Amino acid sequence: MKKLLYYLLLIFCTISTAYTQIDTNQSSAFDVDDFLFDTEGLDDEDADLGGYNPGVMKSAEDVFSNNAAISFNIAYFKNRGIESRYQTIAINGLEMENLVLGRASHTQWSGLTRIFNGTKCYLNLSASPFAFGDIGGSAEYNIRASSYRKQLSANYTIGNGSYNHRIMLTYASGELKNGWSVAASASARFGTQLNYVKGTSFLGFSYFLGFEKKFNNRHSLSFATFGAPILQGLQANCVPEVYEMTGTHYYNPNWGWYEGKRRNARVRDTYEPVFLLSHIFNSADKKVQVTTSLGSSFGHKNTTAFNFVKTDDPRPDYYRYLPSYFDDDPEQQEWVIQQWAENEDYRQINWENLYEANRQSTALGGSSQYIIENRISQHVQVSGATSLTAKLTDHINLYAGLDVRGYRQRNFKRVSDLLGGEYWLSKDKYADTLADPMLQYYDIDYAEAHLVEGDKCGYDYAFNIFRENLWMTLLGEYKYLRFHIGLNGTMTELWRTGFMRYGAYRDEAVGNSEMFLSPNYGAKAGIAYKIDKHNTFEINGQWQTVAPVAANVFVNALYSNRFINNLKSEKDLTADFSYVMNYKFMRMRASFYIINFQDVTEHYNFYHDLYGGFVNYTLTGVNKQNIGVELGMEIPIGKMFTLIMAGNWGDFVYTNRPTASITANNGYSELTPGCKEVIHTIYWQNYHVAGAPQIAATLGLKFKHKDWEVKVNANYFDKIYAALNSERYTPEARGYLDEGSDQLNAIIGQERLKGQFTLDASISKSWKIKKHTLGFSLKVINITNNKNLVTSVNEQHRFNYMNHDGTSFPNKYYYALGTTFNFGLNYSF
Amino acid sequence: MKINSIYLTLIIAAIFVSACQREEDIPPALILDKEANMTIAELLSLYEINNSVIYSQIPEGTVICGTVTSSDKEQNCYKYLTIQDETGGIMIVMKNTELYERYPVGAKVFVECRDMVIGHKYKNKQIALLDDDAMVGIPKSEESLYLFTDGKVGPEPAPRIITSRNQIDSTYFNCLVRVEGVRMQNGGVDTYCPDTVNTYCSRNMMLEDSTTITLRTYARATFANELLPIGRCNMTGILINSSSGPLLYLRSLEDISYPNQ
Repeated sequence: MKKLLYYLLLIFCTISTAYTQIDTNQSSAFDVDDFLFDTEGLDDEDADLGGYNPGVMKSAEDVFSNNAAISFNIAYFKNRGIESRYQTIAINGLEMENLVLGRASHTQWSGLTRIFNGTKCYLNLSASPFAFGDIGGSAEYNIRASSYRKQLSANYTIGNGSYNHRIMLTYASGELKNGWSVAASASARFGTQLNYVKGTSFLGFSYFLGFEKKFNNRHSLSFATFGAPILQGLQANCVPEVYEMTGTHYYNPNWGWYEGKRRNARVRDTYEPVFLLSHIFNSADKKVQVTTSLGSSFGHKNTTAFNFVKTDDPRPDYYRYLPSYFDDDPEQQEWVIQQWAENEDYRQINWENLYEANRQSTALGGSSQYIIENRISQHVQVSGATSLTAKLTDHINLYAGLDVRGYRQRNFKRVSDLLGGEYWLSKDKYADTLADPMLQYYDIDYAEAHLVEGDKCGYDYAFNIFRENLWMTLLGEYKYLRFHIGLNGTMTELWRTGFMRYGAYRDEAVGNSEMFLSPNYGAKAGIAYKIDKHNTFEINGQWQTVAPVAANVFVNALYSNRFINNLKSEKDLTADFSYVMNYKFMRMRASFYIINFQDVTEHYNFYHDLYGGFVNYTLTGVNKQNIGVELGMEIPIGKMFTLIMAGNWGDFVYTNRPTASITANNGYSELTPGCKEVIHTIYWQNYHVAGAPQIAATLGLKFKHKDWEVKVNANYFDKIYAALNSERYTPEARGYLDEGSDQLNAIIGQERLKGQFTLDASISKSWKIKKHTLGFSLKVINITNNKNLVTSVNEQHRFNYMNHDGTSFPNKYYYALGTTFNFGLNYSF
Repeated sequence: MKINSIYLTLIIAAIFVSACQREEDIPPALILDKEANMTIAELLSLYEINNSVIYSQIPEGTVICGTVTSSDKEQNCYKYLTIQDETGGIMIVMKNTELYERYPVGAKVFVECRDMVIGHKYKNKQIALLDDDAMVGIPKSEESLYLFTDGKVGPEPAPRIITSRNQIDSTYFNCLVRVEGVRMQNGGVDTYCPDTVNTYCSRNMMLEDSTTITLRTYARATFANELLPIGRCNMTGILINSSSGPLLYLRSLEDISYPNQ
């Protein structure tokens, strides 16, 4: 048994993913899925960037999540349809939430999979000892140096996902006689030659250093720092016409040839290191534990993009460059089709043309027509938390804690590359200069300034956020009964500081805004009743209010200190009911869940075709409901085989008609003559909320014998819906079209993608030779090379109001990769 | 176990039933609640063509209504709309092209004449916006402030029949007309407007009473390079006034019919 545990722990610690969250206390937690690569490039839920945060927390104890977590990732599945901002993620007891995003950013510790594998997950509405716990569950990483056994290990992995190679070296001293422990890890990830998507790139490094000193049985102090600088060339989503012409679902419009190399216009550079100091106090009778953590993180997340003025759009897939734009001109259409088929300089970014345009403009004394700008986001966070775990009686535990944090994020743009030009004028190309010439300047204090590379342009502002959170949970455990009740109170203080005076918002752009105060509360309760030692019924509920995220609080956070009217906290009410069966011949969990989101606020800026300009678009009072059932099952077949099954059927819909407030964004003081604000009612009740497949199922067979493990899974995904452009669901978009007409159906018919199958297989094995251990793992995902699985699809914000034609601006898609593999080798001693 | 299974079955069934019963929302159609308070003839009477007075302001609150007769699909009617009611026709100057998509022939259009003027260009009456004391077309972004249509397309108005130039008076201008029994000079030889011409071409239509009317075709028209018809035919189009007399603009070659065929 000891040997088995040793092996399991060894393999476990060897190669795992940042998102694979495993309860290390469980010997059954070993899973070859741990050999998968990290989620770099996916750590973003912005559909426009095709991002994804792991949607399912994993606990070996839970038969559903244990089998669903990895298998469903390919389809960007989200547990119960809940976004990751509803999950609580902590490290050494300190929550890692980015207060602007409202969620933790896994990128901060990506590439450190051997360090970040000691996760305890508290799924869904369970009680957790380190936080109140959001409705998407809680997870805590323990990265204290003493938690790693003494070892030195080296790992190499090759694959064809976001990057091709990963090299990792990890050392842990174990606990030394003097009470000190040291752990360190470093990794490098690189190479994109094997990738599906041309023009993407990846270069990432990661490091971790941790010390811990156990002074005695009662006091322990630990320090840890980690970071992951990453440079990444991004992909973009496209309309079907483009994918059809290029013959691939992995066409990437972001790159073009430049000086013999593929150059990507959208490059992301991320580095947000974290420092953590943590103290643990145990009472002499071990009935009380107090964990106190101080943390700090800072860093940047920069993304480059084109900017251009009064000239042709440089993006090759701009709708006016597609054959469909020339439906009335067959001759031109034929020429465009030919260009797409034969001319890579037409099909991709033509960098030389951009440089030439800038050269010509410069020769005439003008500014660059095209530039690359860098959209920079810099943050500093200081946080502190203390949590108490007290054993009040033999059956009652009290968890309580206080979390205080301050967060400042400054967002601005810099001129990154003038592309051969000499200067850049930071002006709004859509401005109504006839009404007021100053409207066109992003910075009226430096109007007509000739900006050069490195100068700020466009916008410059900061979010300042403080948040205090006090919580407590009471957990009772008896032979046949387990219950918990919890309370939570949070106060959020938020304000904006503007540093650039944009002409259209000159009176409200600079300086501090008023402070937005948002008190919020939560309560949760749950009870589990064991009918006998094999059967348990469980019911949980949670109610909470949530402050709107910073970006949704202001009319236009880029330029203005003005708050949105009638801001409300979101209200979430959720409950689940589960039946858990645990026999030798079968383990099973079946759950029914219902989640109501009320008064959600959403905010967008986009070009509105009805008003012929960019608008600030705020949706308030959005109500949503997610209901569904989960089923997980494991049936042992003999001693070596296990049949595994996990499935989710969900129905996630909008349940009301929210209100959209639209104001002119940039360049105009009024939306239309005499009209500063337009209110639209959005008729999307009972339409589906997008973002994840609402049906996901896996059926697998696992073979396990000695140190071999082989697993085959067949997966199915369905009810994948397009994210809605709310403006299509308005009378303004419908116009006078008859109900039931094909033209109206093309506008309001939400696209549902066809269900898709995938097949995965994996094999792993390790050998122990004296004190040395060698292991390998091979996992092949999507063996059948299904390239039609859509991971995200969204309706464009643009809409043809002239003809009320729902097909003028088709949906945009991201597809899951075809067959991918990971092969990992590990050596440790 | 039995009870558990029943529980589960009931719950799952309840979910499916509740989910299946939902009907997706449908946004209501816009309601066109406009009403004309002036006929086109009354509007035309607000302004007398005068070279020293280029335009007159249309009274605030004026709403006219008419049926679209022009079409820029073939690009011969360019950057304007003509609408007509029982009393007459008027030209609306536009900045946008591809107007036929939103205002197809036969569509009923209400025009809120707020801030608009009526004036003339080369003696043809038109309504337009004013910018720096000059008449300009309605920009695309502001069309929804001035023009209202329910998108429904009815039959095009019956064209007024012209058999002699002598019968043409001001009430014919900006209206759909059919000139009957015309013979094109150099029919089958000349084109409507050859490539070599930059702007437009004028061709003579000979009517049966030997009077003539000018057929005006822009070089940008998609049918400009087609040959003029041979023999007697009827031509339907928009009759526009000009300094040199009435001009007929075809909307497409489908506006030509041959009475003997």
